[in-house]
Amino acid sequence: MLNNLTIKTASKLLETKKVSSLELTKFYLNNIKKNNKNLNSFISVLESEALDSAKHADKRILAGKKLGVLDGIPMSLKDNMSLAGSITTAGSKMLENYKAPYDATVTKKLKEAGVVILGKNNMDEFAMGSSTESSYFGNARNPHDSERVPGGSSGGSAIATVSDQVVFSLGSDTGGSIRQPASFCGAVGLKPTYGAVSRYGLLAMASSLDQIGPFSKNVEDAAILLDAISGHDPKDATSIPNFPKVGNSYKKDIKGLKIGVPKEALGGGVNKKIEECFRDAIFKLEKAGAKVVEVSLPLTEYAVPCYYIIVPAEVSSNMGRYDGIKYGLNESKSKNEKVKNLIELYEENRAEGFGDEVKRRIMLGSYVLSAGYYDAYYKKAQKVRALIKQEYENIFKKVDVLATPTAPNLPFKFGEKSADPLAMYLEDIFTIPANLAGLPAVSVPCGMVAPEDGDKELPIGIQFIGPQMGESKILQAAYNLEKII
Amino acid sequence: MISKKKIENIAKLSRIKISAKEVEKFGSQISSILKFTEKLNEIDTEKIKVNKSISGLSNVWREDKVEKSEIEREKFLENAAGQKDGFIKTKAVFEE
Repeated sequence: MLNNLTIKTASKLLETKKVSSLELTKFYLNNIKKNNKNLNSFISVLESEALDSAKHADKRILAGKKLGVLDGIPMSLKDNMSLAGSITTAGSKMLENYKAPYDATVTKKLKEAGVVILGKNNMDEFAMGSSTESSYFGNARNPHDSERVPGGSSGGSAIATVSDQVVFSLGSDTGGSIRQPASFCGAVGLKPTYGAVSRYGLLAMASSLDQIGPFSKNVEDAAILLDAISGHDPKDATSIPNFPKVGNSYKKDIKGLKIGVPKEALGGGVNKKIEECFRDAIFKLEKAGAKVVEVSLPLTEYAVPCYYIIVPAEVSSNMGRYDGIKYGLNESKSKNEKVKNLIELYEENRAEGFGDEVKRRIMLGSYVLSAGYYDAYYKKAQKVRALIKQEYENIFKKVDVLATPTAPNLPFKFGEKSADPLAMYLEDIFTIPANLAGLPAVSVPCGMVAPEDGDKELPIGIQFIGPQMGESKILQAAYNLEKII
Repeated sequence: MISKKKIENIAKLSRIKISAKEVEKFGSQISSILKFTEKLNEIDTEKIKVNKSISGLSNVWREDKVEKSEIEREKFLENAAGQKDGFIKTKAVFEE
């Protein structure tokens, strides 16, 4: 009875007192105890705090004071979101012992809605990666095949959502880090419009691309969560004033919705089975009344190179705060004789605290921002970004949403891509443009298929991208697809 | 291929100590990533203006008013490796 609960079904059980929040919480905590060793989706589990929150939720519910649909619902946060009084590691040795002194705005909002926080999810270090393989806390495993990655960087959150470890989870997305793991694990993953959700309390990776978003079992839950976490925040100067709630606006028929399929999203480089599944989904949507149009986005091939100049540049700036002085790993005790001065202390702390991918991106960023290279690389990439944004704005004059496969490949095996940074980067080829252009995008499961190199069936996701603040439209497409798949 | 000296210089700018082996490894990886990004030169961006912001917002101001912090000073000091009299301790910034 407690398996595969959505927010609505769990909330109904709590409302009708068929189950208590405490029972629900214990159910999920037990599952985590049983399978976290294998899945490694949690870096920290907050058992006593969760049981406490659940008891408080039950008191409210019994007194007829249920806060809303999220009251008493067990969930988890990716470990780059601050939870006051709890260790927040960002998947890194650098912050292994860092206790957040404050709540992120999203944490605060969800706490006020009464959620029960079960723990913090495993992730690629500082959100840099597409497989969760760069986590200091070990690999997380795809629940559909334990020899394969769950995707990244929000791998843990995706796993928890589909493995009955939580009802839902929050992740963050800078180049696909919600959508790609959602696709790899079979969850719904939504990246809102840039500025829709406050980034206050999210450990920053690339500040002009990062967005927090939900992992859920269905589209309805994603919409509920979007409304719960979105909205202007004076603590985040990039948050959009008057960002609209979606409510039930997306629960519309698909008839007449114009779906653009970019020709650049198919053929060359996309796994044949994924393409087949994608085409089938599009065909079904068309049969249900959507108007499918082939479009062209010629700048698509420039999105990944553009991203890998801008993001490392912003990363190099954001990672500058990790010096081991105010917080973070400090090697002065263990290396006191060798560390002669402040600069050497920084160099030692950062060498020890950061993994390879983080170091690589910081150095890449320092290079493209340095004198003599700034114009050729960083400024150039900024201009290309402006062109990409313009290309999307123009296409949305012709169509309501765009559809692409979420990922070009099926979940790959551990170690398959980690040796070659570029191979890993190309996993995000379909997800990156939405972050560059600041647009909303959602990944919805659209099928399962066995890979060429294995026999366990793996999930495939379809992505819908919308215009700025077009969450209603992409959720409408996603909601309808969910019904017909 | 980026020179060894350049990689050592970038590591210095990044305030990260790297070994000789890492200079080679990162050097070759960074070189190929940069080569990949040079694809952007295929596009003419001469007349293109950089976006001021991604969402269209600009100049988001607030009142320059000092308010009491929601969080006590001690909470912020908790994570510092060295403290003294309510201040964070660090190695000397200037040498004698």
